[in-house]
Amino acid sequence: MLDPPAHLWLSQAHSDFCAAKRVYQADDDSTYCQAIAKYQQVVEKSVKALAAGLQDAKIAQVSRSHYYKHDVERLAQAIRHSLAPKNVNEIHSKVAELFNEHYREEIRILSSFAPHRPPPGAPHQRNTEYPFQNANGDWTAPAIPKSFNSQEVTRFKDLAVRIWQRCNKIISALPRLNQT
Amino acid sequence: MIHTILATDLHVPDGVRRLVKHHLRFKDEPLLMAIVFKPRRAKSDIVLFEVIENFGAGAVDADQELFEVSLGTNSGVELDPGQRLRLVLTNPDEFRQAVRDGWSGIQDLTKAIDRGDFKVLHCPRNQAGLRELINA
Repeated sequence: MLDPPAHLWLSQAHSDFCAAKRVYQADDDSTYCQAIAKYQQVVEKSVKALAAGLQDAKIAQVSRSHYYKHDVERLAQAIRHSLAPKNVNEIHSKVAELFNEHYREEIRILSSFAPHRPPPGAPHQRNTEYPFQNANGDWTAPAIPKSFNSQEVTRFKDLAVRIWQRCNKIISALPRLNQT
Repeated sequence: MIHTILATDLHVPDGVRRLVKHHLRFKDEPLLMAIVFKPRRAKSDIVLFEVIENFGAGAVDADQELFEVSLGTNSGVELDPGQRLRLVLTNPDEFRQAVRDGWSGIQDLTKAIDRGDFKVLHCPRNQAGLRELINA
């Protein structure tokens, strides 16, 4: 069975972005976690779209099992390493810019808001889906006021827009690269 | 500069050496060790195994799976005719745990080392611990 093409990942990422905008209400704290969760999905699916685009262009193929993982930073790093300087030089520089140190850190922080099982004895970390423990060790939930703030929503919306747009452009450029 | 510290008969295509040289320029993701080897079963494949500081934020994969990318015909890496390059990426903690716990993804490497069918392309002196680990 063939893997899904890049444009379907991008299409789903765009749908997630529209859903995030619909769910967010500035005067309702309980919607912040929902919007950030959707922006996390935009970033994750955009990076997976780029991986699929590189596969479609016969440049690099990531193992299928990694598409079902949520470690977006690792996928971004692997994409960067799989691009050789020769022939794909312009694509490489664009990917290097997209996944520079700052944006990889932003992706890592956003990805950390997906729920993860903590190590034994460690507190449950703040995330956008499940109840977690605050700094005092008390339980709270993502939709409870002050779990997330509007600045974080804006910050990760900007990240999602940037990653989606850049991935979209690079993917559009890949078929043209093959014809040169 | 690429340090070849252990030499075997394995032929390493120039394209692979150039790719390692390229990765050495990533100052924000320092390359700690690069080993090339031939897996026993897929004889037309060549595997470039790299240990990178901060890869995957230094985390150990919960599924005990090493991250692998196969480079395609348009990758720009010059290989021998019919050859396929597989790139396996990990970080120091994950590498140590994979070796210690015998992850399936590491066994191709350890067997190639047993056969002497490998070449270390990069391993600075201060990474001797990693080198000793694969030779253990």
